[in-house]
Amino acid sequence: MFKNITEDNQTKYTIKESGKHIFYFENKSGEITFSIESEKAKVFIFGLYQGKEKNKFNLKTNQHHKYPNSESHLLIKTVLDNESQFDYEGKIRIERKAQKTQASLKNQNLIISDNAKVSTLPQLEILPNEVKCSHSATVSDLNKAQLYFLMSRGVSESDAKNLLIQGFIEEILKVKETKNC
Amino acid sequence: MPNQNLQFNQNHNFSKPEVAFHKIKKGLNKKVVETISNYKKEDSWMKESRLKAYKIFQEKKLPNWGPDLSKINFDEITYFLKATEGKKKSWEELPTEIKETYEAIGVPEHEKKWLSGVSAQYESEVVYESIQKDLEEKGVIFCDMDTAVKKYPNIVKKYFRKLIPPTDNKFAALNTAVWSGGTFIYIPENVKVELPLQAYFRINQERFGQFERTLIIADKNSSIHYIEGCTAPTYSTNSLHAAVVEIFALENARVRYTTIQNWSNNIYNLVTKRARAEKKATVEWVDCNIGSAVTMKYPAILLAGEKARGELLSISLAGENQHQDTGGKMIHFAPNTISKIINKSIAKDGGRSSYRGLVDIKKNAENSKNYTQCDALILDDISQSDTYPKINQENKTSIIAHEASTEKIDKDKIFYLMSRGLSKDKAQAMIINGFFDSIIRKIPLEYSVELYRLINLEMKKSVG
Repeated sequence: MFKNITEDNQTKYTIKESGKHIFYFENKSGEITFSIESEKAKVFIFGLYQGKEKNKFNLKTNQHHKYPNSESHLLIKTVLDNESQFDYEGKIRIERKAQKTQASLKNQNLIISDNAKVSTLPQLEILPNEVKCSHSATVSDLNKAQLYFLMSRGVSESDAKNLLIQGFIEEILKVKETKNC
Repeated sequence: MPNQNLQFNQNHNFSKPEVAFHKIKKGLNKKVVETISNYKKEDSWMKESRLKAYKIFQEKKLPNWGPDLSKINFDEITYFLKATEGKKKSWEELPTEIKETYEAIGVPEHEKKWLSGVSAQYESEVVYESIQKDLEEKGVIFCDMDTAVKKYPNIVKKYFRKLIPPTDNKFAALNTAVWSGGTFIYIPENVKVELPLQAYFRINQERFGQFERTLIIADKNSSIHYIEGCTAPTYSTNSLHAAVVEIFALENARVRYTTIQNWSNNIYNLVTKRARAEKKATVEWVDCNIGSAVTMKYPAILLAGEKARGELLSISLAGENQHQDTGGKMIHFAPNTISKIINKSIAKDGGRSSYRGLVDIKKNAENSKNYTQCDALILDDISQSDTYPKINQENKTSIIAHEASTEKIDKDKIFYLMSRGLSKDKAQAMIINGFFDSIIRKIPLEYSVELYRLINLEMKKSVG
C-alpha cells in the first residue's frame, strides 16, 4: 500500500493490517502519529523537504509500536536554501508488549545556504528488550570533495551542486515515482 | 578477578557511626544560610552571594521534564555538617572512624602508588589533604574551596559562578546558597601535572545532602587530570547530592575530569557541570554513573575559542529502582571547533537509563564538527531505555552526525563464548565489559580495575 499524505489533514494513522505500508509526504508541517497495532506490519515513512526563501517547517512524528514482530522505518531528508528553517521532533516508542520490533528513524539535512537553520530531536523510548532500534541525524553542506570532482570533470559549479542535490533526494523521489520501496 | 567480587561487595557496604561536631538543624531558611556563612567566617561578598542564590532557589521550580523529583523533601535535609575540627595534615592525624572508612575503599594504597595529592571529603568538609612538594613548587594550588575563598579571593571572585550562575537551575541555586567543601585547583601557565589529582567524597549521615562546589582553572598551555570518585554507604531515607563543577580551560590548556559515581541507591544525584574551552583548549569529561536512585547530570562544554575541542565519554548502569538520566551538552560558539560524545548505557532489573543531550552549533561556529554516538543495552523485559538528543545547527559549513542504537545482548556472542567453556554469567559479564571497554580504558588503572569489578558484581546480581 502506498499513500501520499502530503495534503491530508489527518494526524493519526492506525496500522491494523500486516504487510507493507508506505507513507509519503512533502514539505508538510504538523504532528503525525503512526500507531502500529498489528503483528508483522512493515511501515515505511518517507518525508522530503525543500526549503526556499523564508519557508519554515515544523514537523513532529511518532512511531508507536504496540504489537510484537512489526517494523517501522522513517527517513526524512531536507535541502534547505536561503533563510529556510526545519524544526523536527521524531519519536519512536515501543511498548512493553511489542517484543521483536525493528524500528529506525533517520533524519538527514543538507544546508546549502548560510542563513538556513536546522533543529532536530530524534528520540527513542524503549521498554521491551528484544528489539532492534536505531536513530540517526546528520546536518551538513554538500560534500566538497564530490563537488570538486565533478567540477574537475568540466561540470559547472551550479550544475554540480544540482547533481549532488538530486543524488541526495533521489532515494526518496524514487519511492514517490515507483510507489514502492 | 571474579573471586574478588565478594570481598569488593563487603568493602562497599559500610556505614560508620556519625562523628559530627557541628550540625545545623534540618530544613532551609535564610538563617541557615547566614549561619553557614558566619560559621565559615566568610567575607560579605560570599554571604551576599549565598543569600541571593537562596532567593533564586525559592523562586525556581523543579524541572518539568526528566525523572520524578517530587519525593525530595527540602525540609528534611540537613544543609551543613562539619566532620572534624579543622583539617589534618597527615594520614595519622585523622580520626580512626574516618581512617577505617577510607581504608575500606583503599585510599592509603592509592596514595602510595598514584596520587600526587589527596583531598578527601568526609561529610561536608575536606579533612585530609596532602600535596606533594613538587606540585607546590610548580605553583599549583590544590585545596578545598573554603580555603580558596579565604586565601585566594581574587582568583575565586574572577571565576566563581561565572559559568554556572545560580539562575541556571534550581539545584545550582541551592548549591550556591549552601555550598560547603569541594575542590579548588589552579594550574599556572605552562605547568603540566602528570599524575591525576583526586578527591574522595563521602555521604555518611542520614538525610544529609552534600553540596560541594568545585572550581578548576587551567591557565595557558597547562594540563591536568582530575578524578572524582564516589562511594557511599547504604541508607534508607532519601538523600540529596547537588554539586556544582565549573572548569575554565584557558588558551591551549588541557583538562580531563573523570567521575566515578557510585552513590547508594537512595540518593538523588543532581549535579550541574560545565566547562569553558578557550582557543585551542581541550576539555574531556569521563563520566561513569553506577549508583544513586536518580541521577540527572549533563556535563557541558562551551567551545568558546577557535579550534577548541570537547569530548564526553559516559557510562551509565541503571539497575533496580534506578533512573539514570544522563548525557551531555556541546555548545559551539567559535569556528573550527570539534566535539564528540560517546554514551553507553545498560538498563536492567527494572531500571531506566536515558540519554539526554544537546549539540548546538551557533552561526559563528563555522567549519565545526560534532559526532555523537549512543549505544544502549536492555538486559531484560522490565527495564527501559530512552534517548533524547537535541541538535541545532545554524551554519552550512559545519557537520553534525548522531547515531543511536538499542538492543539486547546478541545470543550468538553468548553461544560462542559458552562453546569455549565460559559459564553464561561470565560470558555475559565479558560482553558487557567489552561494551564499556573503549571508555573504561580512558580511566587510570586503579579505577578501571575497580570499575570492572563493580560491573561484574552488578551483572552477577542480575544474572544470578
